[in-house]
Amino acid sequence: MPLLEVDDLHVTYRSSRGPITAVRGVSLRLDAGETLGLAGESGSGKSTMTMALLRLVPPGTQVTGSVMLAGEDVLAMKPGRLRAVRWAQAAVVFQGAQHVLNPVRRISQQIQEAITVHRADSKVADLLEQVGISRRRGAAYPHELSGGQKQRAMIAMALACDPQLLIADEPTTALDVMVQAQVLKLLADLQRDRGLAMIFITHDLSVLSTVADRLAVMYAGRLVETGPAKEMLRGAKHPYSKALAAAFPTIGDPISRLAPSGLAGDPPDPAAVPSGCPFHPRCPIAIEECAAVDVELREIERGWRAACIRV
Amino acid sequence: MVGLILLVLFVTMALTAPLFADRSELQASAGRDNPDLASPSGKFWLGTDEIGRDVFALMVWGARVSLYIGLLATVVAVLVGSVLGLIAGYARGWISRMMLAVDDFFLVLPFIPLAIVLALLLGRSPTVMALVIGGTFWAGGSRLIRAQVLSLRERGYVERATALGASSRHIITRHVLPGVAPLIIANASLIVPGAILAESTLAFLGLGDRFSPSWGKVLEGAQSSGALTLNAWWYYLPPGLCIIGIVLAFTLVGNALERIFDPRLLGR
Repeated sequence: MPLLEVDDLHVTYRSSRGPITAVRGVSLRLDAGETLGLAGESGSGKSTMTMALLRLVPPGTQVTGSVMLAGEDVLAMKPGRLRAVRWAQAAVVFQGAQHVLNPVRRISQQIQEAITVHRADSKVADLLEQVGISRRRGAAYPHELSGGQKQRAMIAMALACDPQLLIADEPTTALDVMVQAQVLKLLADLQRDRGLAMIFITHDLSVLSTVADRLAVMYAGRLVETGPAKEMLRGAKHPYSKALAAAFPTIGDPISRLAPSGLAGDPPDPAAVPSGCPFHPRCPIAIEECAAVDVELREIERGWRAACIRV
Repeated sequence: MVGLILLVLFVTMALTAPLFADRSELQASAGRDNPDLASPSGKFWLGTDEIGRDVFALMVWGARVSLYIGLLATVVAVLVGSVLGLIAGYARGWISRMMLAVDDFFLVLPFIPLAIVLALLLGRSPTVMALVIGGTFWAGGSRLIRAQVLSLRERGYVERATALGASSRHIITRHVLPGVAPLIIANASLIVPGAILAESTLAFLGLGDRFSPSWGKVLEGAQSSGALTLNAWWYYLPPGLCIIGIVLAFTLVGNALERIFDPRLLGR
């Protein structure tokens, strides 16, 4: 049984302009100990999708489909059970640690919070040491720590209740490259040691090459391609994944540095997604048929699927 | 600083009232053998009132009554205001809208007629007066707290606490309440003078207990006995100055607290 099995997940926000569907039918599965890298532009629905796995959406938001976490449907849980599952089975490492730490409470108090809520029996000092912060620093307030230390503290907090699944929502944005590498290594080590499953959200594909086993690329609220990380980074099939990969120059490759290719246009407005393949207005290889035919994920190789009629 | 000294002075006066004058001196019978409306002398430092009671005794005991009513009314107003403000800010949907409507209702009600009606219905002991004042004074603070809660509710650490599996109670007590606490305290110190003034107003209009008189009640006695036309300044000046003094004291302390808790006001 996979640890996480998502089937046909839809998330619809309520807004003053009417309902807006940010996630339109995502299905995926994740085994214990596996890392899924989730990539996509801002607004592609990747954060919304992962937060909806724990129903961390604004009140009034509609979440449909099914999310089986360790054999239990998260979307059918009663509030009390849901609170118990949050953090104990799936914890979140948020982006921008400085905003999610309460500025007027000590780091150790905030990590303790997770332990207290779930009556877990881990120790704050041990958790801090596991992420490479000396136990004395626990008495510090968030503003006294560096950006990297704050993110480590967040990771320590995520580990407090010994979850099976870690959702890392762009955990390395706003960190400089060296610190970013340290945090990535820390996450990779912890994952290996504890056998954690991890969903790693980013818009930076180069980050995924070091941590992910599998990749999933989202566009306009859907998965457009999913496959093994290494192969996909070398040669993505879907034109959107290709464009995303090509946007990062390869170090030591002068050709890619001189011609970093971007992608023209903006991601579609979730209130008005184009007909057919939602990517067709920006797609370099679009044909007439693309505007008319809605595309599903199709298996192109074993364990590698893409949603494009030209592949 | 001036405010704090004044405040300490008044509180000491209220606490040590029995040292200066016995409570029995407030009774009507206490003044039977004294001259009525006598000017200040060695025996009566601030003269006597129209039934021969020692005005100095009225003043020190009045401090007790005025402070008691002012503080109790504030406690009531702050408790009601904070609880309703927290709920109105944290809840969503119809609960929030209903709270807001109740708040608006109390904000626009004319205070004096309402308080008079309530006091007549419920009785006129100092405790009832305090409850009446507190029960009508909470709306402004509730609105302030709601606004702050609305902003705190959207903070990242509240989102994190939700992801952590924390209950609403946990989030409110650990994250929201500490965030609004400074506001509650500063607001409370500014409600006190308002409540004391309100009490004086109501007493001056004739409500309140003649034999455990607040300063406002003493002023009413002075007014109705014609002390003003008889130029009996020792009768109306002391309670009047006391009211001004205590209101000033609380306002100064309240402003100082607000500046401590919200340093952004320092530049102004």
